[in-house]
Amino acid sequence: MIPSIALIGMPNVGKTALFNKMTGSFQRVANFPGVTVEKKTGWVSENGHKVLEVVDLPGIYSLDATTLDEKVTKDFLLRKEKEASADLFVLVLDATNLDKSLYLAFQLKRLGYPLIIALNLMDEAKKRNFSLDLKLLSEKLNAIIIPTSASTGEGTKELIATLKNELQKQEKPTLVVPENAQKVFRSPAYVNGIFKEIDQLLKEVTLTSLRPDTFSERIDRIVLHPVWGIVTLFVTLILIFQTLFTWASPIMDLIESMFGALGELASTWISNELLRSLVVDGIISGVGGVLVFLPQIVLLFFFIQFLEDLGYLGRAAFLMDSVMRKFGLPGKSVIPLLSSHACAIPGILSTRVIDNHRERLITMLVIPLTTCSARLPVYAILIGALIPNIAVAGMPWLKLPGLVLFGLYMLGFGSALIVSLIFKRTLPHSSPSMLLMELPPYRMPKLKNLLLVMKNKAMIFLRKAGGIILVVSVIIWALMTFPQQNGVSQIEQSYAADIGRVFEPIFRPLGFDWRITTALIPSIGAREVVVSALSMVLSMEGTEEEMSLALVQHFGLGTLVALLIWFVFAPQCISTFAVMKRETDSWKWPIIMVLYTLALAYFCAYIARLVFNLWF
Amino acid sequence: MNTRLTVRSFANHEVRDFSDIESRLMHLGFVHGELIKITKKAPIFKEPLLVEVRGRSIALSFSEAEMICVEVAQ
Repeated sequence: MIPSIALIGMPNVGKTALFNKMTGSFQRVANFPGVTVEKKTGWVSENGHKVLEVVDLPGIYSLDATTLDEKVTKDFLLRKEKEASADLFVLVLDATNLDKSLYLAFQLKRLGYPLIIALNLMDEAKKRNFSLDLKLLSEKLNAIIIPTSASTGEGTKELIATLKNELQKQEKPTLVVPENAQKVFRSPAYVNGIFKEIDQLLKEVTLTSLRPDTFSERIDRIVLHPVWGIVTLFVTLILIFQTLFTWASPIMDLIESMFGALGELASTWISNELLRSLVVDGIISGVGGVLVFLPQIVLLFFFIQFLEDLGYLGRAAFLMDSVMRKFGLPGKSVIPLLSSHACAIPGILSTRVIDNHRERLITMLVIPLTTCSARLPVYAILIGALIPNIAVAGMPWLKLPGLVLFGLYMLGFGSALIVSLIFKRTLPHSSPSMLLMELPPYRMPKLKNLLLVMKNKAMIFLRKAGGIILVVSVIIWALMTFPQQNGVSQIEQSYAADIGRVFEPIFRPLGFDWRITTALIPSIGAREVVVSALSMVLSMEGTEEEMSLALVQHFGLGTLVALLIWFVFAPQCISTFAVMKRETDSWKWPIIMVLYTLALAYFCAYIARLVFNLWF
Repeated sequence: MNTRLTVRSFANHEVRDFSDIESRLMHLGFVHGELIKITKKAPIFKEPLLVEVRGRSIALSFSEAEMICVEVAQ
């Protein structure tokens, strides 16, 4: 059995960077049992053999845990479940902020923990003229202290060697946990006592004091400025949003063409028509249709991690908190809501940055209203059919279709805010939400860490969403292919069409006939599929413009307006539903999400058609 | 803004136990006798506040800041 060690420490002490340095790319990301808190496990390997298992625990300010993440770390530390703990703990301290990060060290010392401390960020501390008597600090804390710099890797080898050495001789400590631990940890006398001890200790061990962080102060003068701060935030968000499309596009095109080539290859290899259709139209095109968004998703996580490592994420939350809070959302919800414009799946996953359960739930519930990139092909076709390509206000660069597209994005985002306000007033109140966060100093993110995050997120996406998409793709294919007549599939006679006809009376007030309701079925798997489904149902092929014209001829403008509005509000794809189920660990919330978006989409599409027909 | 303040106590701790938020405030350094300074206010609605305590910047909403009783430092 490989011995296990766990890294603990306050947030922003460079714990994850140290974890990455120790384990390299030997990592696995999963959840802690029973909770949706991410558990990162990695392995230190020597000559290709794993010698140490390393767990990167969520950051914790003190043993009085108040958030779900902190509770996981606390239970791990206090060995609530024997199997969910480690053989040894490494406390990671920030050398540039010892007076606060030492708090946990004193708490653990009082509980009887043998302390092994990685005194991280030593390079930064030295640059800021800080020096201390390490021997004396080690004696006073009765701890083994290894100075480390996770960014350069300095001290990592020594730390691993020390851990291996300690594991050989160490027995599990007997912990002295007070009976009424929470009351003790919250007692002002206890807290004050520790801070006094820290102040005293630092007086004794400090050789040269730390120079203030003027670099962060200077940047904050702009980033947190009443005007420039808001400008910086919006420029950052717009740049990310734009980059997601521009940078990801070539790779997305490549993936698309790869799946296209794979489909052609499969077509030539497989002679059986039905099997060929299953592989090409069901599996390859279904899975490929989702995998094509992978570049956008990993890029998005790259930017989120970049901003977090840089120290900007907290600043963005600080700037937006009061605005978002009026709608029942915390400032941190800006990031998931932004992410959802690429895809709702990373959006829902990134709600993990929100500590408060209720606010996280509200954010997840309104995410489907933001316009994900899968809706773009649908919008493009329908806008092409409805809106003339003319310049607005005599400005040739400002075209009406572009303005309408922007309006649809705003409609989605605005309705997300309004709906969150409704949830804020209807969902049962939980404990008051905390903003209470530390703004870390600015630090340049490390490319290796960012790449590791991208890799891990890609793996999670492929494992969790990919499986569901494969199953759904096959089901949809079967519905659209069977029953066959004389070995030939006729969409008009398919089970999908039968289902479409069943739903036709319900959707008739919106102007949707069986052809549209049939085309809506595959959009449960992926939104953009509705375009190809419509062309299949209408038995037509051609360019985007020809398709738009045909839609107007077949359905009329009023119905297309209703269809466009339907897609602004309609439920997200099945993968979003599955990810929501996983993140909330319940069927209740994904079902509520589907029901309210369905009702909203129906109501708004009906009103839109009614108003359009009255006016035109 | 930028006035040095001294933490005295928490507003309601005598009538009930310390809440999660008060506990977090204490562990971040908002303890009796500690010097703090409000350095910034968010541009919209003038909330949250940015408070400097033990050399670090902590963002606090009004409701969180209201829990801390302070006096102007001598």
